[in-house]
Amino acid sequence: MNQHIEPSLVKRALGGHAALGLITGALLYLVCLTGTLSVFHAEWQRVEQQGVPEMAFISSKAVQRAVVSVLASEAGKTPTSHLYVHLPVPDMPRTTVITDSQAVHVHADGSLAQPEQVAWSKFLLTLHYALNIPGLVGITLVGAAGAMMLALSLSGVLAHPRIFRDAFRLRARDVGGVGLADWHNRLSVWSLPFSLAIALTGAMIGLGTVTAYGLAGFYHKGDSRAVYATIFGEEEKPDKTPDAAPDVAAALDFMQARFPFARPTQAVVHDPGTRGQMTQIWATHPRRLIFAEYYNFDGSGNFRGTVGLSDGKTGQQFASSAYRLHFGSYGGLPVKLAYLLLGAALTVICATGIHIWLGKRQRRGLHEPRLRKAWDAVVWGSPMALSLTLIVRLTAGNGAAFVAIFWGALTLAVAAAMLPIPPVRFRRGLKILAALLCALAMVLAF
Amino acid sequence: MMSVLEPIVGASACSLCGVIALRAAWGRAHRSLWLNSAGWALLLGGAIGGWIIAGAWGMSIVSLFAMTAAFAMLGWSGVRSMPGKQKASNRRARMLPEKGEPLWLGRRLATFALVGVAAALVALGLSIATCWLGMATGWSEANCNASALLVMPLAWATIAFAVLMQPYRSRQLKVIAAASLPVWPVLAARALS
Repeated sequence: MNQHIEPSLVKRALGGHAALGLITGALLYLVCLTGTLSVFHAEWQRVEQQGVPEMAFISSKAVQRAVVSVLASEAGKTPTSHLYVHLPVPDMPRTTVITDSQAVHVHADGSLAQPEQVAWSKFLLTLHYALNIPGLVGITLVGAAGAMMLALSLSGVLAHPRIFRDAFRLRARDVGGVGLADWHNRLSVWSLPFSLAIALTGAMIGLGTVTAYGLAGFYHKGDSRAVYATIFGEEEKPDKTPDAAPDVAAALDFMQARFPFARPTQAVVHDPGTRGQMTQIWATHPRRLIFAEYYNFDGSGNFRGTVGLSDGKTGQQFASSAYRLHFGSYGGLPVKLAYLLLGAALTVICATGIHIWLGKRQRRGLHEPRLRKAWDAVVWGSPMALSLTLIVRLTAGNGAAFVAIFWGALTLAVAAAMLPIPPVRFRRGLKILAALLCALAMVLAF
Repeated sequence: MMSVLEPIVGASACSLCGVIALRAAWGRAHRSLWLNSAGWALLLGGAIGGWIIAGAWGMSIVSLFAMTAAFAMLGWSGVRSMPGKQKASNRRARMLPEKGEPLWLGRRLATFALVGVAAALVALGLSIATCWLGMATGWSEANCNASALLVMPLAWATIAFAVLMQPYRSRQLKVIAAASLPVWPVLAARALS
C-alpha cells in the first residue's frame, strides 16, 4: 500500500515533519523528559520528604480529627476557601491536609505531623505542564506542543513509506546516520499509539483553558468556569455565615457503606466552617480511566448525589479520563514502568530527530559546530540541570530557587556551546557531567 | 478482580500474537498478505477484546502490553544487528539556507504565522462551531463542550500538517480558508442573533 504513495508527497511530508520538529524540538524534548519523570510524581514526593507518617488506611474519625485540628489552627486568620484531605493510596500512602495557607501531614490517629515539603516535585510538575511560566502562557505553550506532536506523528508516518514494513529493522550498530535514523523511526512506529494518546490528552489539557475562553466568550458571557461546570459540576453559591466544622467522617462512612467499590482519594471541603460548606469525596473506580467520581455531601455529611464523571454524559466520562491516561496512573507499577519505557522512547525520538537533521546537513558539507553543540547542550544539559535541582533540594532544603537553578544551568550549558570547544569534547564533557550529577542525585535520594 | 484479569490476559496474549505475526510478515523477503492481515487482525482483536472486557481501561492495558512486547522484539533486533555499510540519507528539509543561499526570513516567519497562529485560530473557531452544531442537534452541554475541547488540538494538528504539505503559499492560504468555512455560518448566526 505504501509503495503507491507519490514521491513528491513523501518529500513534502518529510519537509513538513522536519519544519515542525525543528521549531518545537527543544520544547517537546523538555516536555517529554519531564513528563516521563512526572509519571513517578508520587514516588518523587516520598523520596523528597522522608520520615513522614505512612499508612495503608486512615479511619474516618482520624480524618475528621485532622480537619478540625487544621481549621482550629487557622482560627483568627483569613478563612480558607477550600480544604483538601489527600487520603492514602497505594503509591502515596500518606494523609495530607491542605488549605489556602498551609499543607500538613497527618498521623494515622489524625493528629497533625510535620508540614508538607515537596517543592521540588511541584517544580518538576510545573516544568512539565507550564515550563514554570505562570498564567495562561506556559500551559498553552505546552498544549500547543502537544498539538504539534500530533501533527509530527501524522507527517512522520506519511514521510516514511516503509515505516511499517521496516518496523523491526533496527540497524543499531550502523554509523554515519543510519543507526540514528533507525532508532528514531522504529521507536516512533512502535510508540505511535502511546504518542497519539499522550499528545492528544496533553494538548486537550494544555489548550483547554484557551478553548474554554473561546467557548465562554461565545456561549457563557465570558465565564470560562461555566464551560467546565457542565463537565465537572459547579460549586454552590457560598453562604459565609460561620458554622461548625464540616462532618467529613460522616461522608467517608457513607461512602464505605453505600459505595464500597469506590476508593476515596481525596476529600474536598468548599468554604469550610461556613453555612454554605459542602464536602466532595473524590473516589476512583476499579478498571476505569476516570481520575475520580465526585460524590457530593452537605456540611453535615448528607449525601447529595454524584456529578456523573463515571456514568454521566459521554463527554464527562471522556474528559475525566484524559488525566490518568496522560499521567499513567491507572494500573499501578506495571503501567508506570510501561510509561517510563515509552516516555523515554518519546524523549529519544525528540532528541534524535534534530540530530538526524544536523547529520544530513553535515553530510552535505555544512559544518555547524555551534548549532550541534547547542542541541547537545539541550539534550544533555536538561537532565544535568534537573539532577542539579534535585541535589540542591536534598542538601539545601525545600526553599531553594529550583526554577532559577534549572533555567540558569540550562542557559549556561547552551551558552557554553558558543565557546571554542571541539563538538566531540563538548558532548563528552556534558555526558560525563550529566551522568555524575544524575548518579549523585540518585545516591542522595536512595 | 481475577474474573476480569483473566480475559485481559487473553486479550493481551492476542495482541502479542499480532506483534509476533507482524514480525514474521515483515521479516520475509516477499510480502505475505495473509500473515500481514493476520497480524493486524490479531492486534485489532486484542484491542477490541480489551474494550469489551473493561472499556477504555482494558483497551489501554492491552495496547501498552502490545507496545512493550514490540519494544522487546525491537530491542532483540538491535542486539543482533551487525554493523552495515549503507549510506545515510542527506535529503534536504529546507529549514535553513545552504551555503550562499539567502535566509528568506520573511517567508519563514509567514509560514510560522500560518501554522502557529492562523491554524490555531481556525482550530479554535472549529471547536466553537462543533459546540454550536452539537447544541443545534440536541446534544447535552457536557458533550458539546467536551467535543470542543477534543476538536481544538485535533483540528490544529491537522490544519498545520495540511498547510505544511502545500508547495505554494497560495495553496497554504487556500487550506486555511477551506478549513475556516464551517466557522463562518456560526459567526453569522451569532451576529444575527
